[in-house]
Amino acid sequence: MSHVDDGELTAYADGAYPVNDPDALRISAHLSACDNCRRRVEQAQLLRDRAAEILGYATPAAVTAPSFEALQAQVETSQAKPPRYVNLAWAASIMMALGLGWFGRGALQNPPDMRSGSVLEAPTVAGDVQTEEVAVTPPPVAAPQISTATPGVQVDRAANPQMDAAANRAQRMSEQPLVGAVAGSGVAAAPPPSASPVPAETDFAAADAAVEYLSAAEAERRNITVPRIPELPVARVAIGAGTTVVEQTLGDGKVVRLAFSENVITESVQRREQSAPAPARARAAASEIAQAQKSVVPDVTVQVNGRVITITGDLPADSLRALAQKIR
Amino acid sequence: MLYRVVLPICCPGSAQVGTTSRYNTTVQHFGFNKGHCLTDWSAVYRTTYDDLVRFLYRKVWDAERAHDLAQETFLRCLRDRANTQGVGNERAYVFTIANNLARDEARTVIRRKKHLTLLKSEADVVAPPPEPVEDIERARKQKLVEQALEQLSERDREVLLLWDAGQTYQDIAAQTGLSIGAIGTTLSRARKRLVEVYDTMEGNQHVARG
Repeated sequence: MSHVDDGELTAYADGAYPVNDPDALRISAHLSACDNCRRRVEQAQLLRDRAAEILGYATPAAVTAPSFEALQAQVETSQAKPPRYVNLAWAASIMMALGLGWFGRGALQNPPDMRSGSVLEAPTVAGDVQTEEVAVTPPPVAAPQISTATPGVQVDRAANPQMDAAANRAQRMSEQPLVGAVAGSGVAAAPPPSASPVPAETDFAAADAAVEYLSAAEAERRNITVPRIPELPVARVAIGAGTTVVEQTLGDGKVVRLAFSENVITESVQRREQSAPAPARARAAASEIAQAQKSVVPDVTVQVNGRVITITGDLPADSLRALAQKIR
Repeated sequence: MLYRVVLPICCPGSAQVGTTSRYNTTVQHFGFNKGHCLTDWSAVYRTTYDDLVRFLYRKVWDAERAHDLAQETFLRCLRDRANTQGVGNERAYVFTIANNLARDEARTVIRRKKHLTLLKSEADVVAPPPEPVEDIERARKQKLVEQALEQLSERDREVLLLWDAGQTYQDIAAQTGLSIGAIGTTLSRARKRLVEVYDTMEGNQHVARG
């Protein structure tokens, strides 16, 4: 005769089986015929009672429980308040807006200017770390301003005073102090503690003499190889005497600019530079120097294949650093 | 963490799958039971609170904290009332929430003790006022129970405390996923071990006292 196992016996002794449960009926039938299992049931009950007695020694002191209505009132009070994370979300949004405004004010006030042959120091913004610093000796050439004028069209800034205002508008992104003398302009700039490559121009509102704008296709057709971030499309390439700027667009419409100094002078650039009026160049340089003293948004400088490249854009410094690492 | 709560009593034929994060429990109904059995939480509160406090006390060994945790358990149930209407086995649900809170409480206590140990400096110890003899004896026995429970495995201890808190085998099955027979086996083993360890320690103490 097979006996009842301990688990079923304990469950039976504890009254765990519902009335008329098949297992309970089976066990009951067995117990009526098995003295051994009946004794085991009694022992299980004694063990249960002893365990309950021991656990009873560890009983908390009586404390009056709050009424259910008080508990409900507490729930309603806590649910009336906005969740803390909502307040935190608002605070985070406001802080982010203030931060963007702070960093963006430099771009609004001081759009950068594209100059060839000028050595500009990368700005020091709190928390920004330059990945590389490279000293570049400026050639004694006046700095032209990159404009949105049609390539090949020469614009006389002296005859068009609106161009000065446009040039100022154009210098929105970043400005750096001008290092070294700009020949022909007679303008001296305060030397920075360390030199760095040429920053990128952010806008090209002002027409100027010695800059040529090429689309990506045109640059490719002319076999002009420029460094770029492979994942991003090239919007255009601006080539001035001694300085090239590659403009690439991000998925959200923002633009990053890779600027480097190089003697990439096309024939048309050379012609236009020679014919650019000297006063226009001097005005451009002076305006640039004036703007350069203002605080700027961060940019990042890297060296890729022997070229010193400065990347700028309306992005946090960390994002610029990450993009700079991808330049090929 | 997913767990399956079987509802044999109030709403037969339905099954629930609860997705539990540490403190937020969302109960999804499957079957035909949704919305049919509304939970009277005031009744659950009245019939469960004392048992819950006793259960939690054996977990945290602090009466005040046990009451706090019990209230916190019901606050969470009430806050999540929209999701817990008709949950069926409210006792099992409440005890599950309480168990999670107690587990987290225990971890917090361990971290706090470690922190205090590092910070503790030698300070003058002021002797506490003498306690009545009954209180001393009760405290001694309670300490033995605490030590005896620590000798059980976590599963055995949990099942034993749930049973002692008035949970039925069906409640325990809902919380642990064990069958009726398996619960019986676990309880049998846990009780034997508890009695054995307690009686041994009690005997040792009597011998020590001479």
